[in-house]
Formats: sequence, C-alpha cells, structure tokens
Amino acid sequence: MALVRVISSDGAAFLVSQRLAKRSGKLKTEIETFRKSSDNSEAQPEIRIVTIRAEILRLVLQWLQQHQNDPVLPANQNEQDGRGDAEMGQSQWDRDFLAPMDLGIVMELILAANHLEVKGLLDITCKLVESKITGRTVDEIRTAFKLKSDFKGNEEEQTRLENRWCVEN
Amino acid sequence: MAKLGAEYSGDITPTSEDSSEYSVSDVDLDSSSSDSDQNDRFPVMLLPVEIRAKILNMISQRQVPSLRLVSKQWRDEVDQFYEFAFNIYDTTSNLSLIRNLRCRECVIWKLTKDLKSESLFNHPSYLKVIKVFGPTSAANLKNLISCSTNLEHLTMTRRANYPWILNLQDTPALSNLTELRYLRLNSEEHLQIHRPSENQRLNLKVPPMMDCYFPKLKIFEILKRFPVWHYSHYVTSVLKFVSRHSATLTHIELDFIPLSCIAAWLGDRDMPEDLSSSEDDEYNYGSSMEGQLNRRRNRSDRCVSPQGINLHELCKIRLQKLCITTMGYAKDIHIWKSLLESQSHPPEENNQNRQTHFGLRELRFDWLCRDPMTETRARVSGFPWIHFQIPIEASSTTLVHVELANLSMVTKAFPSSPVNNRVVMHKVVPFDLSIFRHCTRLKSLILRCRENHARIHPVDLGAFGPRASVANGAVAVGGAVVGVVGAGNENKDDAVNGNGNNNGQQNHPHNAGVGGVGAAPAEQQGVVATVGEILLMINAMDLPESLEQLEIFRFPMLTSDIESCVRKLTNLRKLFFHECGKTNSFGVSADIIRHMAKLRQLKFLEIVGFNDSTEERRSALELVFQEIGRPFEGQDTWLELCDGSTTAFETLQAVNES
Repeated sequence: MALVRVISSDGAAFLVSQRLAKRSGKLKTEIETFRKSSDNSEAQPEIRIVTIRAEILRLVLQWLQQHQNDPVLPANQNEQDGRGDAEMGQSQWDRDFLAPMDLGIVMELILAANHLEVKGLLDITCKLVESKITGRTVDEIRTAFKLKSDFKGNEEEQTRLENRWCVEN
Repeated sequence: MAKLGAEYSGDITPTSEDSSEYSVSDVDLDSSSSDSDQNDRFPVMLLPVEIRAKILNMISQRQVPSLRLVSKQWRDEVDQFYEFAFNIYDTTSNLSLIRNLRCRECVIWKLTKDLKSESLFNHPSYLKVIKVFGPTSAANLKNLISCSTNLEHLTMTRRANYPWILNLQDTPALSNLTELRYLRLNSEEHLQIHRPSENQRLNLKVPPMMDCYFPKLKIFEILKRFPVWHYSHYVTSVLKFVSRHSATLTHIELDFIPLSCIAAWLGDRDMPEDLSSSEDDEYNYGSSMEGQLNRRRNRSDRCVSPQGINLHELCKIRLQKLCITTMGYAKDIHIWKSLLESQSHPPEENNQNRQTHFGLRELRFDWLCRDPMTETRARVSGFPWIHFQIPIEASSTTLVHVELANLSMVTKAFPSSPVNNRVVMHKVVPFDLSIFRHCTRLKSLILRCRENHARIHPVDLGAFGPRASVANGAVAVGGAVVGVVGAGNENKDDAVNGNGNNNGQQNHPHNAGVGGVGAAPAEQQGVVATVGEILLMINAMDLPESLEQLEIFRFPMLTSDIESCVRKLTNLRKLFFHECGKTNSFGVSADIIRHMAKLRQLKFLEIVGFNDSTEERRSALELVFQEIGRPFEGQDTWLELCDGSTTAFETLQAVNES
C-alpha cells in the first residue's frame, strides 16, 4: 500500500494511505506534485501542513477514514439552489463525531477542512455552526457566541425598522 | 505503536520514529492546548469570507432579522454576504433598500415601474433564479436579465402574459446566460378565434428565445397555448430548440395546447380549426392557381417536418423526464415514436449526461384530441400505445411515474363520416399492462381515456367472453379487432365479425396491439365510417408490486383482472377506478371492495361505476355498501373514500370486521 507522511504544524507525523489522503483535494495535489518532481517513483511523499495542529489533523484524518467509501462530492453539488448539501450527507456517526466538540475546536476543524479541501467535513461543520443560530432569539445568539451588542443610540431601533423589508419578503 | 508493514491495520498510521515527533496516541482531545478564550467563544469573523458566506446562506431568511440585530458587525455581515430571496411587487417593495443587497432568487409579482437605466440589483452576478409570475415590463426584464450572467433558473409564467414572453427581441443578453440550467416558459397568445389573415398565417417568425442556445440547459418546460393554425410553427420551433440542446437536456416537459382543444372542451365546435378540412380549403382558396398554392402551403403547415426539427439530433437526447401534451396528425406520430424509441439506446459520446445513469424516470404523454365523431380526417384521435412498449421496457429499472392519456391503435387516417347516416365502428383492442411487469421501481401509473365506454352494450364486448380467452391472448390477438355497432348501423353481424386477420402474429399479449394495427375493417369492408376504439386493459395482474398509486379512467377491465391486481398490489396508497365497466364480466364488483379492505396502506380510494348487471351482483354490492355505511345508488354510484380525516383503509375496516 502506497503511503504518505502528513506532518502537522506541531510536528506530529501521520502515515496515511495515499488512497485515503487523495480524498483531500489539497493532499491529492501535493502528492501529484511530489510524484512529478521526484525521480524515485517508490519514494514516500512527505507533506507538511503548517496551519493545522496535530489534534485537528487527527480529527480530519479520522473523518476521512470513516468516509473513505463515500462518493466524492463535486464542488457545486447542489445546483438547484447552490446552498450546499450538508444535511444530505450527515450520518449518525457524523453527529456523534461532532457532539463532544466545543465551538473552538469546530472553528479549527472548519479552517482545516477548508484548507485541506475536504468538502463533506466542511459542510457538516458549517451546518453545526448554523444550528447554533437557527431558531434562537437575538439574546440567545449573543450568549452562544459570547457577543455583546455594540449598537449605539437608536441604531438598534433603526435596524429593527430596516428589518421590515426582510419580514415583508 | 503500530509499525509499518508489521502490525499495520488501518489507513492512518501514526509514527514516532523520531522522538521529536508527535504520534497519534499522544494526542488527547480532552487535554488539547486550545486556550480557554478560544473555547469560550466562536470567532466567526476570523473565518475566511467564503466560509462566513457559506454559513450565512445555510440560514433561512426568516432568521435573518435576528442576525441583523445581534451586533453592528453581524448586521453588516448579513447585508454584505447573505444571498436573499426577494418577492418583488413594485408598489410595496422598497426597491432602493434592497438594491445594495445580494439577491440569489428573485420572484417578480409586479415590476412595471420604470427603473430607467438603474439596475434592480447592484450585485447581479449573485442572481441565480428569476421567476416572473406577474406583469413586468419588457424593458425591466431586459434590464434584469442582461446583467445576470450567472443565472441558472429562469421561469416566466402565464400571468406575466405578454406576447413578448417568447419574443425577447433585441435582448442580446439571452446569449450571455451560459449558466442557465432550468428554463420554464408558460405562455399563451391572446385568444384569436377570428380567422387569421393570410399575412399572419404565412409570415410567422420563430420566437427569438427558441433560437437561443444555452450550453448547460438540463431542464426545459414549456406550456404553450396557440391557435391551431400555428401548430406546426410552434411545435417545430420548440422541437428545434430541444434538438439543439440534445447533449445536455435531461428533463423536458412540452405542453402544446391548441386553442381549438380548449374550445372543444367548452363545447364550441365552430372554431377556425375547420380550416383544415378539405371542404373549407375549397371554400377559402377556390380553384385558382393561387388558391391551390395557398391550400398546399396550408396543408404543409399542419404537420411537423422531421427535417425542420432536425429529428436525427432530437433522437440523440437521453431523458430522465419526458412529458408531452400535444395534438397531432398521422404524420407526426413518427416523430414522437422516434423520440420514445431512442430512449432505449445508450447516450452518444458527446452527451454531457453520459456518465450518469440514463433511463426514463418519469413518462407522461397526453395526445389531445377532439371527439372522434368530429375529427377531421387528417387528425389522429389517439396515440398508438404500442409505441410506449419499447421505452417502458428499456427503462424498467428506472421508471417511477407513468401517465398516459388518449391512447389508440390507429396509425393512419380514416375517412370522415357523412353527416347523415353516420356509421360508428368500434374496435376493441387490448392494452397489455404486462409491459410494466419488470418496472420494479414504478410507484405511480395513471391511464386515462376521454371517452366513456362503461355503458357500452354487452354485445360490444361480448366476443371476449370468459376471462381465460383474453388471458391466453387467443381472442385478444386472433380477434383483436371486434367490430361493434353504434347508432345507425343496421348490419350488426357484419360489424361484429370485424376483421380477425392478424397476419400470422404469435399469440403473445405484446403482439395483440400489433395485430390490431393492421386491421382496418371500415375501409376494407367499404363501409364509410368513423372509427372509435375501445382499449381493453388486460393482464393487470402483471403490474409490479412496487405500485403505490394506480389510477385508471374509463378503460374497460375484466372484473377478474381488477380483482387479481388488487390482491397483488399490497402497497397501494391511492387507487382510482373510474368507469371500468358496468356490464357483462367487466367492472368493479363487491368482492373487489372486500379485497381493497385488506390494503393496509390505502389512503385514497375512488370508484366511479359498478357492475350490478345481475341480481346477485347488485345484492352483494348493496351489502358491502351497507357495511361501510354508504348508500348504493346503482351502477353510477360514486364511492370516494379520501376525506382527509380517515384513510380509506380505516373506513373499509367495517367490511373486514363483518
């Protein structure tokens, strides 16, 4: 089995099968670039991911391993409305996978999935953030995201008035 | 630690060959090095713009007002990145307020206010969907379309009823719509029931929109009402358009509805369609040379030319959805037959949908016709059902929905009947439902006939006799054409004998229809007649068990055949039998209702017309109706069990309990 060595920003190395690694757009490109530049066809590629630490990289690889037999989704899978397909691909395993994570880890996972071009993982992590917003009141959203209102004077009231077009439509 | 090549058991193998490196076992999520601040909050604004936009656009527009009130930064974020869906009604929509927002979908209910040279949206590249449902000025629509270069979906419907709906003239922007995937046009011309001028008849132009090419178009739907003398013009234009997109289209829905049909439904027999009769040709054009020329031109306008529509290219199309409503002449049948049959062949190399699994999922075909009694000789009153056999059998693993209406066996024109002393011939030909037997995914089957043969005299169907003779195909094939008599025919015996010649066809049910095609009893016997047909549904027990919806309207069926299919199709949720026979051994009996009571999934049930032709049958029906608490009002009783509060199965439980 052909392997690739993937090294995190904090130096952790993971030996991953090339078949699995190629499910990441970024790793696939790196492997192909390595093959073109290397004289030795047997040489093991080594890829440094300087923006992703070990803990997050391990989660990404774990997700890839679980979904290694899924069909590869095109970048614009949902052509009807262009709003992605996160709900379509979320399994019970995905829900269990994401459940213990706090929003900080989710944030890093989003960035990692985006950087490594893992569309399915990006979709479900973005969907998780969306679920923290949908159905909540303004105060609940502020609490969930630890935000404070920065409206001054009658700005909030003005925004409320502006929202009329939004409600109308 | 797992060693490569020795204890390797998975795709991810951590390594610690170098002590300075992490290994996967050293990573513990619970003691991750994330600082507490990072855990406590989610710094959305640190995400890249495209991801913020992605998350925002997963949120429903209903939630957006809340987001705008969270903070100034979030408000600006929404206004900048959220892709809104707007309903435009220019007297209430504040067009200036929404101009700066990004609009993904725009539904126009009214846009007649002059936008002058201003754009409706400052970010038109985000616009993916435009649906025009109401009055919109041509200038405004042009304004909107010309800058929406990423448009994927364009719908224009009847309520935006302007002649220019297909005539977006001087709109070069149409050719800019390179991303368009879905085009839906529902349009009609103003009702013109007066006779057209010669100029109107001879100088029709191709609607400019039908001259366009959209390189990614996958779904095309058009509903076009037009005066009947424009039939070939519009059908040719639209089919040429479809041919041009044969490499990309996967779904087509073409509804060509001539106004004469609408008038016929309304009972108006005095429509200009009569122009197509030979008598009127003479009246209109006289016998002069010019009159002869115009008459010939007029006749050539009636049919759709295979060359004109590029039939060869049209037949390269491979569809998942094929829905057609049209009328037509005998010569046109070849075009639809070719299109249907081509669906059984694999797609060609240049077909953009070649990689996806091909095969029809949805097939709807409605051959509009007027009452056969008043059909002109060139018009065909029904579409030969046999032409569906090949595409249905070729798509047996993919078909989910089939709806066929106004079927026939006639493949050539018959002479018009004289007004007086009219003789009506009825041919009884089988429609073999076993063509669906391998359609294992078929959920819905709807078959409609416009004429009601339920009251036909027993002599009409008597030749079929007992069930067995139909099942083995002997009568259905050997005697496929059973001439029966309508009003005014005194020589009943001759007519009943009909023409039993099946040209040596094998006695297979599938050949039954073919046997009928060759027979033309009226012509061969020298009888001047209008030919009506009765399609007899046979082999209903071969329908696939996957069916959840079965609707049969006005086709006679043997009682035993209905019973077999009801017993077999245990997944039925919706079941309609309308006018399937009231005499002899046809139609719905009490026993069938008792079998329906065992269909646990049955929610909707409609039966119109029962066979109570014998005292025994009548008593049994009265008893069943008594058990379910409904009045039995004879053979015309309308039994409808779908009131929404209780399912048909629940209502029929009284039958099971008794």
